[in-house]
Amino acid sequence: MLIVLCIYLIVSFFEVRHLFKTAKKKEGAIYIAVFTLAVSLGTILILSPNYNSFANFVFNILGIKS
Amino acid sequence: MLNETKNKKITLLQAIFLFLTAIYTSNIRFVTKLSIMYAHQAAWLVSLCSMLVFVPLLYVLYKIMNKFKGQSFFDIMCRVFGKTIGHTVFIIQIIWLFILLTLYVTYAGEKLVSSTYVGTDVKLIFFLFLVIVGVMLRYGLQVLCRINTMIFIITVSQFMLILGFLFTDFSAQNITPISTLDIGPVFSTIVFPLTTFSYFSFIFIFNDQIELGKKNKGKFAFVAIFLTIVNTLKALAVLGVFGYELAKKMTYPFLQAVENITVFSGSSVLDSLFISSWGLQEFILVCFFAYCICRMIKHVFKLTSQTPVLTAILGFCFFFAVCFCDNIFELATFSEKVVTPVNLMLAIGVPFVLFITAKIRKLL
Repeated sequence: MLIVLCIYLIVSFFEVRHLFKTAKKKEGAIYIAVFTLAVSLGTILILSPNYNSFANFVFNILGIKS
Repeated sequence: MLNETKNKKITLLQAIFLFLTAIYTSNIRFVTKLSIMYAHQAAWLVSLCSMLVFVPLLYVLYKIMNKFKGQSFFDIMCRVFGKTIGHTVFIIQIIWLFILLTLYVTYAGEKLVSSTYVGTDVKLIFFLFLVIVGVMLRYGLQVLCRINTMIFIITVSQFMLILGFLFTDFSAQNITPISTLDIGPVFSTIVFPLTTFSYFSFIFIFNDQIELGKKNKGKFAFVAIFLTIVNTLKALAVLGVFGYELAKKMTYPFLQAVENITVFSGSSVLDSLFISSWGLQEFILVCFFAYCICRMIKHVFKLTSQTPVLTAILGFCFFFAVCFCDNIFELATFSEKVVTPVNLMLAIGVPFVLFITAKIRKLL
């Protein structure tokens, strides 16, 4: 997970730099927004290994027995 | 590249092939099993009966496609529903398609781990899978469709080969008796094939990239006929070999039926061919959803290029896939209880509402 997160950070750095260099600010902003979400999720998953799965979360909301 | 400055187009037939390859695996995994589970020995009639809803959907999409030639689904929705509702529905669809993308990435990983790479960390499979999808999609829809045409031919050939072997063990007793008592279960089960068939609506997300020929009715009819024949044969083969009582207890009945094939009293090794082509089909399925999401984001935010969004989305998809489910049974329950109603609403309900609204507003 940590390795993937690092690879993602490096690739994203070059992507965002390229976008701002080519004056694609809107694309850059959207990229940063999605990237922030992904990194936050990744960090949470690394820090708390006993997380509840998304499917379980949906089942709890909808009252579905898995 | 995925850059839209060139905006290369594909033909309607290529789009149809893309759809047919994409849903092939979900049909095997999801439709065959659930049809057998609920409709028992009459499961082979489910796909045929689902055409009662799917053919009107095709008609609606055909009408919309012909009227709004060269316009994306987003443009059509904004024109018919107005900007606010159009944007809202579209953003809901983006979120839902992202969930579906993650679901299929998870399925692909779990299937490979459970069948071929036993003991491998599923995260590694997710990562490699998404890297390949990311690299592939950078070359655009046209290249994807060309590759898909080859995969489609491989899929159909291996399906015919497998079917030939499966029907040697076919027992007609397993698919009978059919009586009026089966009408209820069969009609309540049609929602499952419709869940995957409804992905046909999603090819209209890139309607602006589809070049329409003059005679399209036949191509739409081909989709309906192909899906009916293939799904009916699949259900017949599984039922004919195992019978419904045994088949409903299996995780992947069709895969297990393929593993069961023997030639000259020995294993036919057809399951290896089946699993490798299954991998290719999963790849197309994930590419299809990833492309749809990037295209939708491009339309909503009026971007000039969708390439950078692709990397961000696939990265997010990886982390989401890791926490998507705990096991394969949770995935199956999620597909059955959550994916089915939401798909019916967003992929069948929305086009019908769009059609009716367009009729009322005299846009059609």
